[in-house]
Amino acid sequence: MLFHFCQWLNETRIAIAVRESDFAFPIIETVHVLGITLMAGTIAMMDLRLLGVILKKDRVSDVARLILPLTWIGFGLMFVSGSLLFAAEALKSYDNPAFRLKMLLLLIAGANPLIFHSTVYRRVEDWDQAVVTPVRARTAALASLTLWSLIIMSGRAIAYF
Amino acid sequence: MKHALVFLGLAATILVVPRTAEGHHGYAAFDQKTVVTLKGTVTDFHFVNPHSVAEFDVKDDQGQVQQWHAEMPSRSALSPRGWTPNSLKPGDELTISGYRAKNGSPSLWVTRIFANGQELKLAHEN
Amino acid sequence: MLLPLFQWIANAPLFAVMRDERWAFPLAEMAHLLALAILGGTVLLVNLGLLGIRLPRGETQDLAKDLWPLFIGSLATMIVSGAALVSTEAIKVYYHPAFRLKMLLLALAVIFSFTAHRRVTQAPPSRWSRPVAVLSLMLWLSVGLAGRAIGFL
Repeated sequence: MLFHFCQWLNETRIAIAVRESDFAFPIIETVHVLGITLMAGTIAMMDLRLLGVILKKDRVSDVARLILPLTWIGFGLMFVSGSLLFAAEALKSYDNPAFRLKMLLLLIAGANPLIFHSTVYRRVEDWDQAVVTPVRARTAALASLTLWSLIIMSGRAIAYF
Repeated sequence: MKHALVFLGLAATILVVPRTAEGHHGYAAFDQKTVVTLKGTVTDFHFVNPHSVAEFDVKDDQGQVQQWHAEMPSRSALSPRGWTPNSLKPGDELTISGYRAKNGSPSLWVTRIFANGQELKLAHEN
Repeated sequence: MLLPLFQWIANAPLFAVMRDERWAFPLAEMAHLLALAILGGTVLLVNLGLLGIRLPRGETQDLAKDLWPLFIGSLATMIVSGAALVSTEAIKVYYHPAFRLKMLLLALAVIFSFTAHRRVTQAPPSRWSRPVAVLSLMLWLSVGLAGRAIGFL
């Protein structure tokens, strides 16, 4: 069923337009690569605060309030550009183990903050000013840094398969 | 609990759904230590991003025809060098050199290409 | 002019691994991307601070000082991984127009970060805060764009 979806997607007008345009593909790919900064770069800053490495004098919730809107904008850019890149090569991507790994990691990376925000972050007022945050917060931060690094690496590996 | 199940379902799909036998490969799938050269006739040309593809028939000494598949740079990279969707047309005679797919499939990563005797430039010469 | 530097990069034993091992190039690319994320993150946060989008407690001076080690570390990683990436074709790349543009812009961005930009971030907000932030963002963005152009020209 997933295969048929990819087959269909591969032949949509927009997929064909991206494949056959001289400019669209490089522009979309550039947005995707440079968007890493806005998305993963900002997440890394948040994770480093949770790990007590940077911005130690600032409250965790203040850092989150500054950074998370940026991360969401980054996510929007990555999602749209990524979907267009995927559509242009839907069948090739379907087959590509690096792409599959990246999608799986993205799922996990999405689950991580959901769990974090609905559990330990609920009581953030208790540890908002801590340099050494609760174990669960630090674990979530470390998991986040690892996952996003692996996502970026598997994304790069796509071209090699 | 429901969310966990949806998540697991998606993850399983990604991991378990079987792959097809598509002939497209990335750099690592080609043996970059040996260059092979073939002569053949174009059957199709896909002038697209991120990789352009030429399909061509190669006749061997016994008269058997094998269908080959050649990967080339993106449309965006080739257009400035004068390539168009008609640079390769069905029936064009090719002399084509490249790295062969490691798994033995009739697939090339092109290093040089001549169509009807004329070289079509792939890369910047500095 | 900088040809000797590129000749050195082409021949450096440090980068011999790029020729000898097939996994070296993809790994160098990945290091370049990971460092890009961190570099971009620090550049973004400091410049947003200069533009008035900042933490409630914080002065931009403190933010910039706090992020300076990360900025230097990620910049160094990008330079080393970048050198590794061009080492197998260092002389050819030296003459490539997009690469030259990227190096020029990189030099401008780095010099700017160490001089005027640094002076402004270490001082209280002034009428220079906004223009310096915008210039910094534009310079670093153009380095990234020129880097992308290398692959397409």
